[in-house]
Amino acid sequence: MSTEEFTDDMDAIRQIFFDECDEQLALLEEELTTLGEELENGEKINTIFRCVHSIKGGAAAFGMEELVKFSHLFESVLDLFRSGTHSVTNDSVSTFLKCKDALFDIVAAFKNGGGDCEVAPDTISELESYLHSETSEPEQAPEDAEMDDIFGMAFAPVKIAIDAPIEQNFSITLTVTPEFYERGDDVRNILIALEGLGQLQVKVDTDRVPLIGDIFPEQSYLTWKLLLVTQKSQVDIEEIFEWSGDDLQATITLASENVDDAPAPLPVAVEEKTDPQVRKSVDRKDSATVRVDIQRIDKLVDLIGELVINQGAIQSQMRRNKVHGDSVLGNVVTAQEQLIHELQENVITMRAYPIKTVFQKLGRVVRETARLTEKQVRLVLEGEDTEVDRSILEKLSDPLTHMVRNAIDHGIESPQVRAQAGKDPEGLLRLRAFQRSGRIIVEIQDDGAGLDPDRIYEKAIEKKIIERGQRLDRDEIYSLIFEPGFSTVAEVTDVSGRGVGMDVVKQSLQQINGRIFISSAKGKGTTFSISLPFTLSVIEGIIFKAEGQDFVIPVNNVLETIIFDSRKAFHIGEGKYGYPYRDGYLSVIYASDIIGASSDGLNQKICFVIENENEEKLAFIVDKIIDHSRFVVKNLEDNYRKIACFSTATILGDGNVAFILDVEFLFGELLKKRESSLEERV
Amino acid sequence: MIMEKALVFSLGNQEFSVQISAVKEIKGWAKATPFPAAPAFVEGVVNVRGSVIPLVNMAQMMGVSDNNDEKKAIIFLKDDKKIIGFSVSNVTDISDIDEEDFRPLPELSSDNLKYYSNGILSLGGRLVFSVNVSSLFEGSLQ
Repeated sequence: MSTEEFTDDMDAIRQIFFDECDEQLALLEEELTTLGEELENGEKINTIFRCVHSIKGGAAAFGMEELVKFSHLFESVLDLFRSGTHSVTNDSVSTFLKCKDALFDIVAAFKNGGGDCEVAPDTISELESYLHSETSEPEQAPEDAEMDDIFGMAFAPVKIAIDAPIEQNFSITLTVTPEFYERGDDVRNILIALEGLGQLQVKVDTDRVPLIGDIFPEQSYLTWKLLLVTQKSQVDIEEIFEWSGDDLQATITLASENVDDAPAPLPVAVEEKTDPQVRKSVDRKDSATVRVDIQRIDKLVDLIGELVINQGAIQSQMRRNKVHGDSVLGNVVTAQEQLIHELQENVITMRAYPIKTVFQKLGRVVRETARLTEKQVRLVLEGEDTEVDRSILEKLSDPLTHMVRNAIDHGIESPQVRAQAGKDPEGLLRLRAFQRSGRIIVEIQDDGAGLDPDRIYEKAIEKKIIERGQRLDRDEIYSLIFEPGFSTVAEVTDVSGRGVGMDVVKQSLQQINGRIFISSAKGKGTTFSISLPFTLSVIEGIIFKAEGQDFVIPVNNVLETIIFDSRKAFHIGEGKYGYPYRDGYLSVIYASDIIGASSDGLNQKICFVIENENEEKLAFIVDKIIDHSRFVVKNLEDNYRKIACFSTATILGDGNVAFILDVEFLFGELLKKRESSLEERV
Repeated sequence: MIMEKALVFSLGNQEFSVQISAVKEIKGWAKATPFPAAPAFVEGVVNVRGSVIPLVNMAQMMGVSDNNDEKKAIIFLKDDKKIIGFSVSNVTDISDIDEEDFRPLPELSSDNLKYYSNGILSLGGRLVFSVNVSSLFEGSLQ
């Protein structure tokens, strides 16, 4: 092996260590956050201890001394809590949280190449105070012993239960079904495989064998009773039986000591151990996961996208050749389509992450912000297991961080003000995620002062966003805070006034097709609800033709499709038209204008009534509707750059590219036309 | 000393070359899907095995006269991030490039040519402009 390969391998192992650190830190954070709620919880302290311990173990193996030292100190203190010498209080939880943040920083420092990360001295002294307050603790061994301890375990496995090489007795009963033999399998193969795991005793139970005259040659009458003494786990044994499925009715139980005893049925043997450490690791194993490089899953999503495109190609060929949908081929293709859709949905869920990963980062933001603003805030997380596509999750972190900062800085009042208003001095910030009608909803709710419509209105006039006297309803006033250049707090604060306003929040949410709503009550608090799509890689859309070219419009923006009657369109200004819709009139945007073609208007037959999130409507005129389908979204920026009216594209059944219309762009056009008519007036 | 291999192609009746390591794929020319407000030299976007890739008319972008406007091939070039297709008149051959083959551009070359080309290669009497791949990418993404 060349040196280079070796370094690569080491890098890979280091990367795995850092990945694991991230996981452990996330778990640590999760446990610590909930520890505050239920102070007496030995199980949680155990978990916390194990997290720190794992990090220490790995760190020692990689010679990351600072990390080893600090995690060892942290671990020693935790041990005092674990053994009951100290009991958990709110103060100690906050010390633990500080330590967790320090661990996070040290890990990050090592990850970025350096190792020079100093832990704040007061964090260390806080920790040490716990150690010194317990004088008779044997844990306080001399320095040498301490180091021995660390390096003694440096290469020892960190996961505790699974690896313990204890010999166990498993009793296994095999009842063989005729199907097992029909598949040409042989019990002998199984027995040989089992023997490979340890010592095997075999007994054949012939009780069910009938008299020779009654024997049915294709039936199977034998039952094997096996006793296996092995260091392997039940999972390893079960693996052997995986091949034969249900045809070999195998029951595996952890047997009692006595070998000669007939195996007594012990149904859930492995789970019945009482040592909490063991139990935890078994729990984890139940929801076993495989670590897969995300790029591989992305590749899968892409490949399935191509399958969908190919499927479209097959179907359009079938239509062209007039193959009937009821024909054998038609049925097979339809079945295939369903399979592909199912496959696609499954793979997309594989890429989904629980929103927990973002929420947990926010815990840190909340603590920092609360400290800086000298406010007391309790963070409540709900629905952290709600899963969101990775691509969305990545872009959700920044806007959420900003909104959480805002909620604490501007929403939640100082403890004194709260007390005067008769509220709990500790403010409540609730982050909630859930699914509703195919979209993910994330709510940020505070019980602070609420939005003040009058103040927002005045501020908007001052900032020349609106004109005095303009009549706006309450929701319209609230949405003013998303206007560029709006900020209700006069002085720039440390926390949220960093030149980034809510307009940026809204923009970044729009990039991921997110929508945001506000509800607020003065004195009671504010709730921001963000509605997000589950995935960005597939959209449902309508494919239409304009000036001979195919385009796609996302179906969730289309309110209605009506036949366009050009005689009803009326002139409302230079190149501007109106069109009747229900009991009112809409502004018209012609597709031909957007794509820059001059049209004789003869082909314009269809009107899409399009609505955006602000409930603005417009009439969009196209030539023809082709189909309604699901489209794989291709990002134009991957290989090119942003294009004005189309944010993305898709590939049609015939292999050609079709652009997906950016509905916000249409409303932008509307705005431009409105401005140009304002200029005309001037 | 052989430095590298280069792909030689023509725009009209003039030959050009790019380093072979940047070439991802060569395909016959196909019509791209046009889009509004595109720079004149961008023909549109094409689908290459599921990726949407812009197609740039290289002659037009470089301001090189392209007498016979017939385009026969698309050269797909890659940098570390993106893939862009360039339509060219024809793909000629792959040549070994020697360091001694390089000559600087004449003083009076147009700014465009100076931007896109880093010198002239004389390959057995043939005059080939060596094209800078990074300039091609910068130019295309404007």
